[in-house]
Amino acid sequence: MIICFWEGLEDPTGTNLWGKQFVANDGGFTIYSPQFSTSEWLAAINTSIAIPYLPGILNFHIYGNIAYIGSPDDFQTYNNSDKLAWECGIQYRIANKAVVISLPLFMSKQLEDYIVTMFMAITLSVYDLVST
Amino acid sequence: MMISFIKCFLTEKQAKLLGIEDLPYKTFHRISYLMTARYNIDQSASLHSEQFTSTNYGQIVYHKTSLVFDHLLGYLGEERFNSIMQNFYNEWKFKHPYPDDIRKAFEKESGKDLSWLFDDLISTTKKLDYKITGLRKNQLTIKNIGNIDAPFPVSGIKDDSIVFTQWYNFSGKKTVSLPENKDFDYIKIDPDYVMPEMYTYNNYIRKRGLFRKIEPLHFQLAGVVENTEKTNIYFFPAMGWNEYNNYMLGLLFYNSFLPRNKFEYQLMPMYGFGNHNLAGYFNLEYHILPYESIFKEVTLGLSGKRYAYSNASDDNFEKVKAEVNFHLKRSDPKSKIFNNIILSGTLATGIKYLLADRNPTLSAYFFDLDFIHRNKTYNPYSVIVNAQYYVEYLKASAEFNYQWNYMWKKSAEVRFFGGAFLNKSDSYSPIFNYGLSGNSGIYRLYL
Repeated sequence: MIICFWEGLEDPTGTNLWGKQFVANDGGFTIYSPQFSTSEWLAAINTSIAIPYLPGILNFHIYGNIAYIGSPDDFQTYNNSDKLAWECGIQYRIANKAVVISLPLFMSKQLEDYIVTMFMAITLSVYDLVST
Repeated sequence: MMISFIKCFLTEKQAKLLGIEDLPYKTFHRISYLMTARYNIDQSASLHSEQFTSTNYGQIVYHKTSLVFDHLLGYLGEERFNSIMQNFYNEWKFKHPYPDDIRKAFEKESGKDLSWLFDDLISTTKKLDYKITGLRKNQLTIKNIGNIDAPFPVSGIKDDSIVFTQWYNFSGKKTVSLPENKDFDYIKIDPDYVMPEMYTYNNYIRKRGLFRKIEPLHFQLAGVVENTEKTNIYFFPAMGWNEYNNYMLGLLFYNSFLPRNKFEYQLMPMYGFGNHNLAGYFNLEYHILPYESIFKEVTLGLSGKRYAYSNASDDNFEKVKAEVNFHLKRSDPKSKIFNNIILSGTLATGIKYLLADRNPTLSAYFFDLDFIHRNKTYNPYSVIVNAQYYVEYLKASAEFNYQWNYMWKKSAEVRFFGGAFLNKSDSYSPIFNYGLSGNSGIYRLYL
């Protein structure tokens, strides 16, 4: 009998898979991205629909998110000419919405660029572990 | 009686494990009533059956009413109570009595004013609570902190047996004289639990010693049900993990689970094996339940936490938050609409200094104002409005959530979010920006 909790288990840019969690608030996107952060204003619409006719345990949803960002801050080498970001994908929900595992499938160009770089970084560091 | 209560639900071994094997049978009814009363969502027992919420139909109609008549039985004495009941039966057999008829029967034959029972306990949601404030020699001071002036018994107890019992009845604060030639270890209001009283922790005072008003301590692993004879300290093993503290092991201490207490605490000190330092959190809550007010409940809360933000031993951030949560009263207890206004102030490690020159001092003040409206019907929706002030900025956001259940357990959802900075100072730092996916890592932990 032990209380387990995952307080502070977040490091989305790190290599630990369990650390890739965060609370989807603000723009509500499922991709973690430091881009499109703003000190002006932000508006977002998040939608989802459960896939019908699946048994209860297969609680899969299709989702789509779109956000418009008023003057996003520059982040590293990315220029933030884009103000509109969107993504859609499929997600699996456990215990209503206590745990949501998301798999983004399509997204706006800038997010895609960032994600590819991030995954390459992860692959590289795993390679480092193996080689040493 | 006690065994029958336990046998209904639990084996004697299970009851022992939960530390409730000594509780009297009545506890079952008491706890049922308090489950709604201590949240201020109870209803008057004199309503039409269709006006009750499904919970209150059990808690009030079955449990509170039985407690109320047990109170009357204790007050009148068993012999008198039985004789009145038998006369009432003889008079009304094969006929249909109405609620007023039983009141007349009891008031006429006992010669006592029973409005505290029929007007207050049965027909309203007024709460009953007495508190011992002091004892000097045989002068006992009691304060009525409830809404009802009901008769209540006070007993002197020596070696676990009752030496004397006296009944009183008053409002406000009063000092009464106890019998002079009786020796006792401690005084207790209502030791047999004949009254449907809200809180019993304030019913006790010892004749001598330190902390005379605190009942004996009782440590219990995984405590669930309130033990009214003791000051309960429950504990439970706790384990956690995060990137910097790594594995954490500790204990959770708490004082209340079922039914909720007026003052609740949870303390969870832990040791992080990654940074070899202390981590954990605490939460204190005090619930005020006004009788007739626009608020159903006002909760005063104080919470805090401490976790690491790097692998170095001394790199911990700390946060203390004080809040007042106003739960607005619902027009109809069956309504599924909930409104809350929350004011909070947070004192936290100054994250800017922490990131720049690794100087973790408690130096940042945040103030939040939240309005939350929830409609928990079959297709639920909610509106959340927040404003946050920090010395560098003032920002506000609004969120709307709607869930449409188009099929059993299958839903479509939509959320609108809008946030804007209303004011920024020159020293503003982008840590507090609105983001596409919210905050994460240290920033999420932070606020």
